[in-house]
Amino acid sequence: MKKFIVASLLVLASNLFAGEKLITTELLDEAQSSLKEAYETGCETLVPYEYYKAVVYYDIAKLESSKLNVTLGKAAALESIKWSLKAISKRYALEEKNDK
Amino acid sequence: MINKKLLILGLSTILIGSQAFSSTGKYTEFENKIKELHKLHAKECAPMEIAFAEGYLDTLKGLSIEGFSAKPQKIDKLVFANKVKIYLSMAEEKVYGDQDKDGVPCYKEIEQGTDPFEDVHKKEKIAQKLAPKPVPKVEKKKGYQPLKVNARIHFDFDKAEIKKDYLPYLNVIIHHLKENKNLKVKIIGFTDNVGSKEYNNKLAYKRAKAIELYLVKNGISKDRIEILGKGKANYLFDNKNELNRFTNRRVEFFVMDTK
Repeated sequence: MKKFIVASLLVLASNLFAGEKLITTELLDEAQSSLKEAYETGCETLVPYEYYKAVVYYDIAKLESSKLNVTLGKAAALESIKWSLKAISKRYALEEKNDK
Repeated sequence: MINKKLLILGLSTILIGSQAFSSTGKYTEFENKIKELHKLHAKECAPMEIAFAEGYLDTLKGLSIEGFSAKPQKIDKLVFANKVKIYLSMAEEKVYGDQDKDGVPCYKEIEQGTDPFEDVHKKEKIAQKLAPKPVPKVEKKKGYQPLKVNARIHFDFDKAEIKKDYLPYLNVIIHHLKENKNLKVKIIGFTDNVGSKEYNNKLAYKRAKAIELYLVKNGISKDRIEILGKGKANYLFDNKNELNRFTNRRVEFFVMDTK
């Protein structure tokens, strides 16, 4: 019984750890693809301030995650995604404004 | 013994408190610098540098996630603070810098509504393209020669305000005058044929005066400038249509080498 409980706890702990890791990497992947989309839509030249905000948070997210400061890594990845989306929406708003 | 312990505890509290205060003070300093740079159009002049500085500073202060503030470790705090400092100085350099080498700093060009990154030679080429025809020699006074760089600024009807579109060309002229300190410039204002002679003479003078003020404001000594209002004279084209009248409403630049 004791062995079973210890094994169950180990499995649970490893799942939790793996879950946290997965979320961090998922967020990093998401941040990277958002950044890529922002770059491909020309945000680097059209809305550089917002684009570079996304870049710096992505760099921080990578750095902190590599140092196992997972919470800050996730927070920075989320910020990066937020700024990439801001850049993309501002870029299209500019295009609409120019069309008018 | 207890007193000693209390003393150590008190001292350590003061030390930690002062450290916390100094780091907060440092961030306030950074924040003030960022505010100052934003007022000087850092977003336009140095978007990457200001974004990086802000990103690292926000991380230093802590990023919120699920109601919790995540902060970097001690060593990273030092690294990030250093990065904020570096990026702020880079941003400052770009804001006060003159990337297109036309003699006007970036933040001033943004305020004027001109492009701070456009190459000065490109500006000259555009100006030459836009100029309707080569400048005829109007001034016969010995010594003064027509300015070879784009040397014509046009005005709206009955107006002596410099149009925003001509500021880049004026900046090129300023740059040219700054590079050739021995040159003196004569600015002559002209009008179209609408209105009385006296009124047009005054208007032409006002136009030349507006240009003089702009040159002086941008660092050209008043001693090097002479202005004249010629009014209804030396038309470039007949005054039969609005475009021709617009072309005639102008100031022209003549330079004299004082060497």
